Amino acid sequence: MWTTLKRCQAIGVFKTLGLLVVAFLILQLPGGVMNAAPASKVLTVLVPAEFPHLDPGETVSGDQYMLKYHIFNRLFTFNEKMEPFPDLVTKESLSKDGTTWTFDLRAGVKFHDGTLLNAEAVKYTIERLQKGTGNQKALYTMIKEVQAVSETRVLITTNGLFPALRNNLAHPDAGIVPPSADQKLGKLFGKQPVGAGPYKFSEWLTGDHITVVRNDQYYGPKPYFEKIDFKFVSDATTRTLMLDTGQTDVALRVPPNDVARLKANPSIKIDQVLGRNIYFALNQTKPPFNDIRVRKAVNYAVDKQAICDRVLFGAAKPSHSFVEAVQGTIDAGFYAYDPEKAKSLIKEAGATGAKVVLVTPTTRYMLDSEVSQAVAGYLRQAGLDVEVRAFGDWPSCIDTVRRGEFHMHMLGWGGSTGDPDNAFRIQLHSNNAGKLWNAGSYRNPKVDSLIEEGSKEFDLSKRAKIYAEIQKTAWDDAPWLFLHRLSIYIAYKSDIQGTKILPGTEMPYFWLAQR
Amino acid sequence: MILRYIGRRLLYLIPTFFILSFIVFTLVRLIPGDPVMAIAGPDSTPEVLQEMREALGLDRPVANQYLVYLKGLFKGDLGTSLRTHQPVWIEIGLRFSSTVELAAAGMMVSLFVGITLGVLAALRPGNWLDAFTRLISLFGVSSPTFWTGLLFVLAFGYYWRLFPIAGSGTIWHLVLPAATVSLTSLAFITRLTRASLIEVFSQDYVQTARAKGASPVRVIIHHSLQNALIAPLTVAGLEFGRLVSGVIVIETIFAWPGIGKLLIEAIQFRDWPVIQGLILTFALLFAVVNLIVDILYAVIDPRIRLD
Amino acid sequence: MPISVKMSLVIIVILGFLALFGPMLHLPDPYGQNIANALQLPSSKNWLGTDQLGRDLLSRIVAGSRFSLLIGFGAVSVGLFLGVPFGMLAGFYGRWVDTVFARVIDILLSFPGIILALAVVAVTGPGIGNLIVAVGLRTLPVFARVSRAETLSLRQRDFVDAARALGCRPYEIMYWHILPNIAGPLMIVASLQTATAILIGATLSFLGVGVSPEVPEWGAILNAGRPYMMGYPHLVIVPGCTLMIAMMALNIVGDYLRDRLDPRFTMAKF
Repeated sequence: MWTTLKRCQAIGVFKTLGLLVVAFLILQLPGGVMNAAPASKVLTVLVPAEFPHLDPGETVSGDQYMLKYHIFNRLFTFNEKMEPFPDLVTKESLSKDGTTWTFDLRAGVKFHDGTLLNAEAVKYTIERLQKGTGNQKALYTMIKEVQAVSETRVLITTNGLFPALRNNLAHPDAGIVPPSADQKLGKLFGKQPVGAGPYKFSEWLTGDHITVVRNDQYYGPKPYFEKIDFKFVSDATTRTLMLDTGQTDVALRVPPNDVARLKANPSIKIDQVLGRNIYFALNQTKPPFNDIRVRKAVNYAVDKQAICDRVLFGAAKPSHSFVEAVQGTIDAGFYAYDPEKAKSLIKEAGATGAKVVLVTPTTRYMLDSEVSQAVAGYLRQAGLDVEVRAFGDWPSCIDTVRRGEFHMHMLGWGGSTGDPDNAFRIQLHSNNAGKLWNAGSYRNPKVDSLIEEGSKEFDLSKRAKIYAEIQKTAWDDAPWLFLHRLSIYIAYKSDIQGTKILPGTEMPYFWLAQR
Repeated sequence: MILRYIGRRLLYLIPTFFILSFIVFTLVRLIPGDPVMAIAGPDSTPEVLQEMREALGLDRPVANQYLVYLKGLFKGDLGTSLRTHQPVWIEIGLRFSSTVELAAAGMMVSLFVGITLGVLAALRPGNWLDAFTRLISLFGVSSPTFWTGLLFVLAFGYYWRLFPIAGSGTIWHLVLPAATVSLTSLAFITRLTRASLIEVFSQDYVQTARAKGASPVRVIIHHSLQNALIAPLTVAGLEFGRLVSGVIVIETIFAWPGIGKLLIEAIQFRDWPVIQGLILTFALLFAVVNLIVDILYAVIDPRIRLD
Repeated sequence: MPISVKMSLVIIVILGFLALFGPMLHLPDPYGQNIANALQLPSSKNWLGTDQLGRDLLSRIVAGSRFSLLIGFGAVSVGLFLGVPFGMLAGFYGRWVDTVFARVIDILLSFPGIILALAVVAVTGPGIGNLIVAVGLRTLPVFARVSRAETLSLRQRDFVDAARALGCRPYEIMYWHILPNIAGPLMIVASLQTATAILIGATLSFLGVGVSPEVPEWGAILNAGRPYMMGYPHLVIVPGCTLMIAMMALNIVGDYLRDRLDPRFTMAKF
């Protein structure tokens, strides 16, 4: 029986294995030991979440914005105050009736493949998205017509008054697309993007990293770093550890509990960026949250400051309004921690012991699971019977909203165009009741009409007043459990200077950075 | 006789494969969550969603979709990723080599270290080396991979900066993940080597060799090892399949760009074709490995062949 | 009985005791939060410290034993009560019955454990019952395979022929004659599969599927404590060690049973 496997065959197998090992080792050697310092003109950035493509016009995650911002250019760009200022545009004017905009473009700007960025390209970009299926189509829906009057002059006509056009054109997804490359690559354009930005796309190993190299023909200041490696590391603790051990230059979204330790490390510095407003949408279509007393009670029941201090390690500040990342946000009020009041309000509404299903994602917002559990704990003290349903993936979460199988749902809003119309319309307008961002089905006709008014108002001070009123009115209706505004931490090696963050997003950009 | 058995088993693989594809297809569609919404984002308007649905062929009746899928399978086409619009087999192929690299490295570590430890332990059963080896193998079998992975990261990556913590690229990046992956198999192989080597040592022909004056080394390598190794190698084959499935957790902890990580992401985005393709790949791999092990097993123990 | 086996049995008994009578021990509520008291190191008030929401770690670990053992025994029960008859039928009748059953088992076995469990939980949703089913589907084919192989070899034996000659009906033969003989190997498989089942359950919880985050299952506790492990390693070390000790105990007992009952089993597949 033993002779079935001949002796020499067995030894042969062993020898082959040995040779394989040796060959394997030899092939891998040029890698070098981990502590070899990376070339100083290469920047390594750790990115938490990968995305399927880089096509301007369709976005599913904020990290996509960062890459698009480096690779593409736009007509306008946001400054630190989330105000659009001209980028590719050198001169602009508006017709008397306010519907036709004339933009003069910078001359001689070339795409990464060498073709010229002219008015035709702008027209192509806008029509491309209008005809296509990208989820950012809404950026251009107000545009009726685009005309390329000359090589450098574009005429954009809008449907009615749209003062926020420049905001939309400054959006990271409004990058200008080269017609020739797009037509040549077709569906693959999103995987091998060609733009006119400060960095050129170089390589994308799916699941591992994206590399971009410096665009030496960029019209702005020449970027310092020759190459940027964006590596995908989805686990937050791993990102921190990699920064600690010098495996990377930059780590995005470092968890708050590591911040103190990193700050104590002299070779690492931390930037704090104000990020999203986190809140729970309260489902008004069924008890107990159809009763405004219970909604207010829930706001009194939670000690938001304690959550910010202990659970989030000081990385957040309690909210005083809806979404604080947009223009025109005001202090709309504050529901102070008052557990007794909460309990009595709930008793008054007859909701003691009411079953509440709390839906939370677990890897979407920093420490979302912990915050949700803490909230559940407070609500239980106030007399509600809370069940926490956690979903590790966002699609399942969204699904529960769609089917209405929740009483409260955690959400976070960043506000990517800076314009309050975008935010309040999606969250508070009754047209959007039942959709993801107005998950609680909040309806208030007064707020509706205010929103309509605000979107048409050009006068800045009048606009501010309208939006202030929207916030105050809605705040009193307590459609949400208002929690806090999260800060996002970005950690760098201390020798990296000049990184800037686009406000309203948590997105850094590096073409002005140097070591 | 054996060839007939092998041939029969291979033939059975085909209907298994197709039943698998059907199960996988149904299973994946039972998972709650709409892929179009997951990909397009929750803010999309119904029109955009509908356009995408049509473009991806998801609005056709389910039976139709399955037939399309099946036809594709015959041609070797696994479909197109809903997320990236790349063919599924390319998506899998790009990362497959990384996973195989990790699994192979883990396999090699567990074989070499395991067999060595097993040999050393069998030489003097009962002494401290033997006890130590038994302890290590017990530890390896009992510890959850994520736990050992964490310990390795903390110890060898953080406190003693010996190896990179995450990512891939150089052989040094492979060390920690491969060590973690190999631990359980290592434990098994050590124990098996030790046990079967002890059994072989007591056989007559070994005693004869020793009596004839052969040195212990020659006794081990020349006479005993290849016989003793049959059992561990058999199990090692089975372990390879288990290794490949174990990499899911490892790839997540160590940010290793393999198919385990791809599976988790595909589930996150409800990328049905990719999920199907991956499960089929895993299953096929596993089935082939099982088949090889069954054949080896039948070769060794004639009684089993009687079915 | 070697001392290691004795110790392991003691550990298993202790775990079982904690699982059954844990709530009566007057420990703090494992779900009871106290945000102001979060992340405390072990002290006289909290013997193992507190977690990130101020919950007492010791009571969570004790409560966790209940879940882990539930998953372990539940999954193995599924495997035993469904898999063994399956396998015995296949082994006993042979021919086409065996072929069909063997194909089904092959298909189930084609899914690596974690993946099958992942897929099932993704479809059924989180929850302990679903978790038991998911892991049970993994142990089922193992039991089926072992009972099939054993039945196959036993079927040839004389006493089966004798029983048949005496007029015993098939199920009688299987129940009275074959089953007692395969009980030994089955016990071994059961003890080892319990460990595997607990492990898969913990892994799923670690990956974030499986149970709600508040549930104090050991793998979930470890996962939740991981972001804090640099400053508060006890949050990770305690659940990890507990898991390891439980698994070690089960493995030692299983090995001992195997050594005593069926040395041939050294080469068997699991």
